[in-house]
Amino acid sequence: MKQFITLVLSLMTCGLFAQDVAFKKGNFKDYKAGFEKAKANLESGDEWLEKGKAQVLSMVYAANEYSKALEFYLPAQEFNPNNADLNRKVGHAYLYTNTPYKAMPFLKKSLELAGDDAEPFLYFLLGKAYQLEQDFEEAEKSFLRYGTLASDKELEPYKKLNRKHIKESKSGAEIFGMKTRVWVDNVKELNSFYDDIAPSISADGSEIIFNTNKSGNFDIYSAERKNRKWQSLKALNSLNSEGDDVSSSLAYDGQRLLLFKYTDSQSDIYESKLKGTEWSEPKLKMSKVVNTDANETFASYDPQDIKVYFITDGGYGGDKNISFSGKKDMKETFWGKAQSAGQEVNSGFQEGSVYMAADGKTMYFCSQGHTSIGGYDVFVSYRNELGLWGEPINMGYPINTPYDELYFSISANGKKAYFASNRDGGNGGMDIYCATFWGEPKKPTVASEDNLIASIASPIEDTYIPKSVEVTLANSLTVFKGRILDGLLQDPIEAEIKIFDNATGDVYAVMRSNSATGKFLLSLPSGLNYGISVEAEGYLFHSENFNLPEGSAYNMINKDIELKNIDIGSKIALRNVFFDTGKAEVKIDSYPELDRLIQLMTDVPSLKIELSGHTDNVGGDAANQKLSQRRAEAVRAYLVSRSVDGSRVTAMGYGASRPVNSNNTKAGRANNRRTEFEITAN
Amino acid sequence: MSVVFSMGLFWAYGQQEADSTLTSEEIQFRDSIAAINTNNVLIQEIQESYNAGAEDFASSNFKEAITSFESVIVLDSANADAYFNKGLSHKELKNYEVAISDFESAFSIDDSYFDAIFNIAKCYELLNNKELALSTYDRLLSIDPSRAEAAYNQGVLYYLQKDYDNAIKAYSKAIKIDPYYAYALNDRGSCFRALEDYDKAIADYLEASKNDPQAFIFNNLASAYRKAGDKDQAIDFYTKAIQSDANYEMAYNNRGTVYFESENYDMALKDFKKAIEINSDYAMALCNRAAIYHLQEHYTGALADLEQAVKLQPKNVTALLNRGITREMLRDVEGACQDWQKAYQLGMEKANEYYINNCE
Repeated sequence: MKQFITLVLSLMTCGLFAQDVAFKKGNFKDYKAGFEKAKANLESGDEWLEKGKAQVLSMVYAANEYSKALEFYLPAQEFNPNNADLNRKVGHAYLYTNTPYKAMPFLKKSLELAGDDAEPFLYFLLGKAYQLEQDFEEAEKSFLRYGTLASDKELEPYKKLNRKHIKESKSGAEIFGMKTRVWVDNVKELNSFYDDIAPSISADGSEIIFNTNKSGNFDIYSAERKNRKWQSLKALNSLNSEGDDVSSSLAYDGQRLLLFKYTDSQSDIYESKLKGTEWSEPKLKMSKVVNTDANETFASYDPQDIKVYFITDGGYGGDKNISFSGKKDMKETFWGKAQSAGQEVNSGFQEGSVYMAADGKTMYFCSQGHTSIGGYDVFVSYRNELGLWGEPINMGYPINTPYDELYFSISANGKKAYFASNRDGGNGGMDIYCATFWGEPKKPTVASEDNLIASIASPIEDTYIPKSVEVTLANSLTVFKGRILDGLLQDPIEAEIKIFDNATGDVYAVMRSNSATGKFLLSLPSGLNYGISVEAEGYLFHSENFNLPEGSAYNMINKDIELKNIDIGSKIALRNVFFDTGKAEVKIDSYPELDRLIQLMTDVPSLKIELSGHTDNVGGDAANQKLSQRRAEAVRAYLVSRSVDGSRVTAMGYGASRPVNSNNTKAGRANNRRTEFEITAN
Repeated sequence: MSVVFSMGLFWAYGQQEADSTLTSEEIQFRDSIAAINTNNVLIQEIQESYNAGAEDFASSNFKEAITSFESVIVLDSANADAYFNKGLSHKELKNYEVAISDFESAFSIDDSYFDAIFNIAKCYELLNNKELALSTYDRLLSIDPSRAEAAYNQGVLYYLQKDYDNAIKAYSKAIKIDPYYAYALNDRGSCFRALEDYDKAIADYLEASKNDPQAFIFNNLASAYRKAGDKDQAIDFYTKAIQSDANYEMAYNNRGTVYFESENYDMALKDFKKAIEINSDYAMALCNRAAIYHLQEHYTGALADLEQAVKLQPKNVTALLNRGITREMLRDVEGACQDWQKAYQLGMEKANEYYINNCE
């Protein structure tokens, strides 16, 4: 073991320099036993490789031969990984097994080791490997290079294949450029590490029959589709024998099954019928006229149940082609001789399987020829009005790849199809794949909307929002009553009485006192300050201000007013003339009173007056005198400013020297603070 | 003499007070003043209660408003305003029957209170009693023939019942009363559109847009042109709608769908994006943008929009159908089948077709 590891490391080191290590004794002096064994393996592998090549050139399935070759080559390659020829041979063998994707690393290594001395055939093999990797440009270059480098003798047997592969490379580039509206998925629940082939589904897609060689021979299995998954896998033991048993087509109603069996290395087509839940013992389908000494294998019912289409190598040239036979009686005792499905569908290469669609006008088949992009591809052909099959159409990528695609069957609605392929990425060997056709593109729907009703689009505002009203404050009214009397004689006087709102100066009410009683009576809103002026002919007008306090419903004020004659020496206090404390500016709310005095002066042009200011006894005499003088002059100034001749008005300040009431009470002092005028001439 | 007596209330007052200086007339005068004083207090109380009600109403405190207006009615049972406003409050509280009774009271007190009748009709509308609503509008029109909105509302009621002929008559009556009544013109246009008389619809929408150039009217006009097969005019007027209201997401969405139908997917995508920018919860535009993404094979983007659209409107059949289509392309067949099944259950036939062909 130690020696072997040393050898491997040694060879790996050699590998770094990419040197071709020939299988010579001299290269393995210390590993004679291993060398001898490797050499023997190499020779055995070569035998199987040659058998495989012969099969391939005969267009016959050669995976078994190449697999055998690999059984010998791979230990030899492990012993000497850096031999260009052996690497080429390993890659070669892999290319024709069901794991062809494993070939490329060996082929590339072979080229690396051999360099310019590489065998021309290596380019043929590389072309196939590039094809599998979908590098169609490199593939075509390699095939062309092989055609150029190979001698005529070497090329001759491969000429046809090489041309075919060049054509496949061109087709591949074209077909891979087109989008096919289909998904292809590995049906993992059906596939094993071994070959899983020939899926056949019932028309409604609910049942599948397929084949697997996991027991060493091909056996027939079935499964049911539930909840979009294949379930209940089971071997159909009534159909399986010790040899290969391969189903090929389930009738549309799921009640009959076509299969083929080998007898003495020769296959014929059989049929089994479903009895309850068990399949009957297979019986030869069609007569011996159809099932000849050649190999009849994959077959398909046609929907009318008159013909059977099948693959046979019993035709001209021994290639596997599509043929059909029609029954001659309802009991199916006699069948017509097999006929070719026609040149349109049968190529110069192998056709591998056939499936008739439920419409009876569509044939799906697999072929290495036509516009295959490598290996077997699935094609479809449509029968024309004359009953002839039309030009096969490659089903395109991703159904077809440069690997083998075989045994295509499709559901009646055309939505799902099943087939087998040995493409890279599977579970091992051939795997079953499901193709889901998208059908016509489902264009998404767009939606628009409108506001068709204006009052919904733009609601009309509710204008019915209650608005508050102006609250009329419930000022109570006060009954204001009294009498106008002659101040001297106490006789009733008919006089004009004006009530002023002192806050605004507006006349609130004008009325006359009763001439017989001197009475007046009115109602006034409570809580305000009023001015009252009373005028009667021959009398000095009277004015005063008063507050009407807030009160109850029964407010009543009684006031008798005495008027004075306009006699020289009469003194009238102007109670509605106001000053701020200690100041001599006439306040604006004094104007109504003073305007009445001005009016009196106007009405009685001979009238001359002395305006006098009076204070209470609060404060010093000098200050009081001075203040009263200034106030009297202020009032005079107002009169003069309103066109009263200044010569008719004098102003005197008397301070506290002329009280009219006692200064000992608040009310008395208020009365003493006054502006007064005295009639000095009339 | 001046007295303050702002409302028609006068409470007789019989109380007397002994005063030997007063004549009987003076006593009578004094007592009348006393009565006025009492009355004024009541007036103030009424006005304050009324204003409290108005304030509560404005603050949406409708129950409190009703209490205040009821206080007014207790003090002044002939106060039509109080009944009317109480009716409005009950209407806001969806007590439509009570509201109708209050509006009737207001009208019985003041037979010029036409707004009360109008609101009775509105209440019947809200009670989904279209027959009584229609007859009440008739009653209003018989006593106040100038009431265009009564005829308009009749039109709306007929339209909602898909009785387009009667709706057209009602709207026409409203337009006769007020020839510049843009809403009535718009709605009559919508009736003609429903009757597939697109020429008349366009004429009405045009007239409405002249009188009131609001975005939704331009939008309707554009859609009428679109229905008539004139995509250029449709795009022009959707654009006018957008010019009238730059945030009118519906017009962006609709213009996008016209571009979509014209396979101008870049412009359509731009409009759908703008509509979503204005209103990120606009399910229809999300659904439409997803359609573009889907066609561009940007399936994850499409799915994100459709997930949002379905979240916003779980019963939006277009969103469900489209999400199924996108899910299918993302190989989520189970999800796609569920969407199509649900869309079919909600009434979309196309979804069933997809389900049968792809899921069974």
